[in-house]
Order: sequence, then structure tokens, then C-alpha cells
Amino acid sequence: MAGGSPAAGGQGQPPDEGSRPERFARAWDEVADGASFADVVASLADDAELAALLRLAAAASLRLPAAIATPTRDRQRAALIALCQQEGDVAGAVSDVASRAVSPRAVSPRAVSPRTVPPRTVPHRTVPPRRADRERQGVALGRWRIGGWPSATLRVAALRLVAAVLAVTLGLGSAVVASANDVPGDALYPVKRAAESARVALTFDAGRRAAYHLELATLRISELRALINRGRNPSAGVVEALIDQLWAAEADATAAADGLLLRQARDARAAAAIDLRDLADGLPPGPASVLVAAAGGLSPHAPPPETPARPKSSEPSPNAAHAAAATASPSATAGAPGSDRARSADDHPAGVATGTAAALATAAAVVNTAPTVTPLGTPPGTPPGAPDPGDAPPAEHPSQPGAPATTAPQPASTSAPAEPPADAPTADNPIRDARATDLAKRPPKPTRTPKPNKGR
Amino acid sequence: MVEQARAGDGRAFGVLYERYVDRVYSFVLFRVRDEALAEDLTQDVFIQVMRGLDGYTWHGTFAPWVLRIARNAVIDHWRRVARRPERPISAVEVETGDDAEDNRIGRIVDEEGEVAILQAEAMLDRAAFQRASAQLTDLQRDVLALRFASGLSIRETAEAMDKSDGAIKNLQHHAVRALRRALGWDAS
Repeated sequence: MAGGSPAAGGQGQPPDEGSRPERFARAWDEVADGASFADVVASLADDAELAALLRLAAAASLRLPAAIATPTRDRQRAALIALCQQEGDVAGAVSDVASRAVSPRAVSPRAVSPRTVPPRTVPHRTVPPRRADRERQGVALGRWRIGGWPSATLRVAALRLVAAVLAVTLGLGSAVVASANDVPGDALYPVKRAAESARVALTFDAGRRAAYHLELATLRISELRALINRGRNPSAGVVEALIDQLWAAEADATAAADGLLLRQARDARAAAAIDLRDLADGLPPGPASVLVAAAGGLSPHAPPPETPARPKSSEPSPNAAHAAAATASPSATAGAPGSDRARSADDHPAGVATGTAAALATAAAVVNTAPTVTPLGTPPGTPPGAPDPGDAPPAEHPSQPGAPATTAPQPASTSAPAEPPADAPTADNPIRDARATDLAKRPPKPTRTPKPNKGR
Repeated sequence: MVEQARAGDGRAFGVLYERYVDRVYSFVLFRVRDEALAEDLTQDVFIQVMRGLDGYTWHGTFAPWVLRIARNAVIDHWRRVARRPERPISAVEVETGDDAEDNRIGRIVDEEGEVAILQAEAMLDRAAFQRASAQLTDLQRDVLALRFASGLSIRETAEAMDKSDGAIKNLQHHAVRALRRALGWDAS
């Protein structure tokens, strides 16, 4: 472990100290309760060592307590509150699905068989909250569903949800758990996406976040493939998320100053472009064009030239968007980038948008942008990113690229090297490093939440 | 409030967070000695708290339960590190402290009264303190952190560590003594 040597006098020592531990504990409690330190020390006058220990304890108790940094505290609190509500919603959603699924069975027995067992109810949970407990819950839930649910699919989906929640809880967090079989339109797809964005928001290490984004990008490709295999159109929402995640991975890898990761991220982007073209093969022209256009936007040498005009599409945006999605906080910070994106999408649906953007914009309208994609961590009922018009000044129209980067929130961690704020590049900024350029290639996208005309 | 937080009331959970975050953070920071890591672990702890609320049964104080989760999080962390050793912290490395300086501190501390304590605190320099605490056992560090960083009572500490009150008193006494020895403060 931490290098502690068990030989350093642990509690295994025989209690030959008589009542010293007791006296010490009592003395310290008096101090802690506000007694005068000098008085307490004086009361130990007969035992110099105890007095010395008490002094040391006092010094330690002044030295040890630490306050978590305020920005971290605020961010954590916001993320946790969002997660809390989100999980409440997830629980609600599950029981909602459950009740709907159970009711037909509750009816049928009367007609069919006189001696049916009443459907089982959820076991009430009173056991301590250890991991094992959560696992047990999962099993119990599963058994109950076997009894109560007519649909094996629902049961499997629910088990997978439990697995996903567990994965997030335990920090295993592999997107592998959240299977590619959940695709837009499935009951639990939004839950899966919500869990993902929560995890993104809660990962403060830029490198780890980059890796997770890459994992998610792979998952998005699998989802597209699954959709196509089921004879459905590729969802523009998934394509958009894929692009988001690829760029976010690069941004985070850059932020983490991890060259290897950055290369991986770029490779992943190139690979995704190839995958998208492959997937487009054999699709009807409409859906195919969505994929091809997206692939075009991803290929290393085809950055849409106009897009750098989006001043804030660089660094902060992907993270912020994810964080915003995850925390679903309609606060100014979270709202800004989302609405920025929204604006850029509907401000110039035809003008700016090059291949990708245009295709995606149309796709958003044409293809089955399952509204299920929308929630993304948003508690149902909360308008996603609900922007007050105030925090989204129309200053960022591409015709004014140098518009003051509004709050451009930086949800990245304190643990990650802080990004130079100068990184929100103004278009006329001559010193734009490779990274800025690179990031600026990021094509504009239609909002994930097709929620136009916000506040304007 | 716990009830509200359990029901998915985010704001109630926010209040719980505010109330306990510094205790958790202090504890974790002392145990991992890395602020960024401590922040991440603190967050993990509260996620676990959130998810554990369902099974939490109220018995007076919440702190021991939260700190117990924190303690487990730290233990898990060190286990992970041990499995994939990338940050060796050897006792040897830790022992190369500056004894002369520590002795000087010890003498200052031998004066009576609060002033001496404040001086001691100022002189209890972080590095020396960390070196010294690295020589303690994990249990000793836990008890020091819970008592002096998180401000738990003997009873609460006992609860958080699954031990009897008497065991905690012993452990605490040994821990402070070991710390004193490691600091060289007993040499005056």
C-alpha cells in the first residue's frame, strides 16, 4: 500500500500504556469541544509525553483539514446534483416501463388460469449500500422481471441498464457494457447516452476523457452499423454524436498534452471516415449522403474552410457541450455553447454550411433524428440547455468571427493542464497554432436538440 | 434531507455535498497526497454516497458512513495503484528527512500555550509532515485523518472504521506517538 510500515507501532501493541490512550482521547475531546488548550495541557502536567502528543495533535488538526477548491466544489456539486436528478429519472423510467409491462400480465391471469401467483413486487431494499448490494439488486430486479415482464427484450435491456449503471458506479465504465444493440428508438437508448455524458462530465482528467471519447466514437459506429443492419436509416443524431466525440477526443488529447493519444484520436477520425463511407455503401442515396458528407468532414484534409469562423467551436465547445448535456444545467455556462451551436446551425442553414454541415442539417430534418437522442442527460421535462436569450448574444454570427468569446466555459479539470484561455481564437488572431487550426476544422453541426428559434 | 436526496432531490444532495465535502476531501487528501487525485476521489465518494443512499439506514450521524465510503475509496485506490505500480512511494525515500530541522521544530513546540501551537502549525511543515505520516501504518493514517482532518469523534471514527471505541483510542494514541517519533519531536 502506501508504504506504511506495519512495524511502526500499530494497534497490535499490548495496551501496556494503562489509561493513556483513554486520557489522550479525553483530553483531545476537551480541546475539540472548545476547552482552553492551555488548561487541558496543564491538566496533563503529570505526563509530559501526553502533553506533547496533545500539542502535536493540535498542530496536526490545524494542518490537516483542507477545503476543496471552490471551482472544483461548484463543478462537482452541479454535476452531482444533475446526476442525482438524472438517476431519479432513470429509476422513474424503469419503474414506468415496468408498470406498463406488468399490467397486461396482471390482467391476463384472471382470464387464463385460476391459480396464478400474484406478480412479484420489487423487493424492498434495506441492506447496506455496498457494491455487492447493487449487484444483488440487479439480480433481484432481473428475477422479478422474469416473473413479471412479458418481454424478454425489455428484461435484457433492463439488465443491461443495470450493468451500465454499475459500470459507471464502479468506474469500469467500459462502453462495451453499453451494447451497440441499443440504438436510437430503443427504450433505453437515452439512458445509455445519459450515462455516457454523465461519465464524460465526471471525468476530469483530460487524457482519460479523450480515451473515453474514442471509446464512445467506436460505439457510435457500431450503433450506425446496427441501425443499418436492422434496415433502418442511420440516425443523424448518432452521426453527430460520433463527430462530436471524435473532435472532443482530439481536443482532450491536446489538452492532456498527450501526443500518443492525439495521434490515436486523429487515426480514429480517419478510420471513422472510412467506416462511414463503407456504411454508406448500398444505402439509398439520401441516408448515404449523410454518411458520406460526415465522412468528408472527418477526413484529415477536408476541413470545411468556412468553419473556423465559429470562434468558440474550438476547445471548450465539445467538453462544454458534453458537460452541458450531462449536467443538463440551464445555467449560463452550460447553456452558452449549446445555444451557440444551435444558433450557428439555424442562422445559416445553407450559407456557411459546407458538405457536412448542410448534409447534417438536412439529415436532422429528414432522417429519423430520434427525439430519443435529445435528452442526453437531460431530465425529461427540462428543456435541454434551456437558454435564456440573455446569455446567447447573437454576436457570434460567422460574419463577426472576432466576436468576444463569451463565457466559453471550461469544464475541463483542474487536474488537466489548464488550457490557455487564449485558445478561444479570434479569427484574426495571427498566432494560431496547429492545434487551433486543427480544432477549427470542426464543422458546424445542427444542434443535437433540434430546437431552433431559441430566444430570437 | 437524506430522505430527500434519496428520492432524487438534487438540491438536497447538493446540501449534503456541501456539508461533507471538506471532511471527505481532507481525509482523502491526507491519504493520497495529491490534490487532483483527491478531488477525483472525493467526487467518486459522493457518487457512491448518492447511489448508496437507498440502503442507508439513519442512525444519528451521517458522517461516519460517508467517511467510511471515503476510506474504502482510498483503499480501492491504493489497491489499483498496487496492481499497476506507477508511483512507488517507498518508505526509504520517505525517511531521508531533515532531522536537524525537525528537532528545531520540536524545541519550539515544547513551549507552552496556544502560541506554541500556532507556531508548531506553521513549523509543521508540509513536507516533513508528509514524510512522517508516510511512516505510519494505514490504520494509523486513517485514524489521524478521521480525527484530526475530518473532525470525527471517537464514536464516529469507530463507526467509520468498524472498530470499537477502545480500539480507536488505542490506535489514535499510537498514531500520534508514531507521528511524533517520525517527526523526531520526541528527541528534544
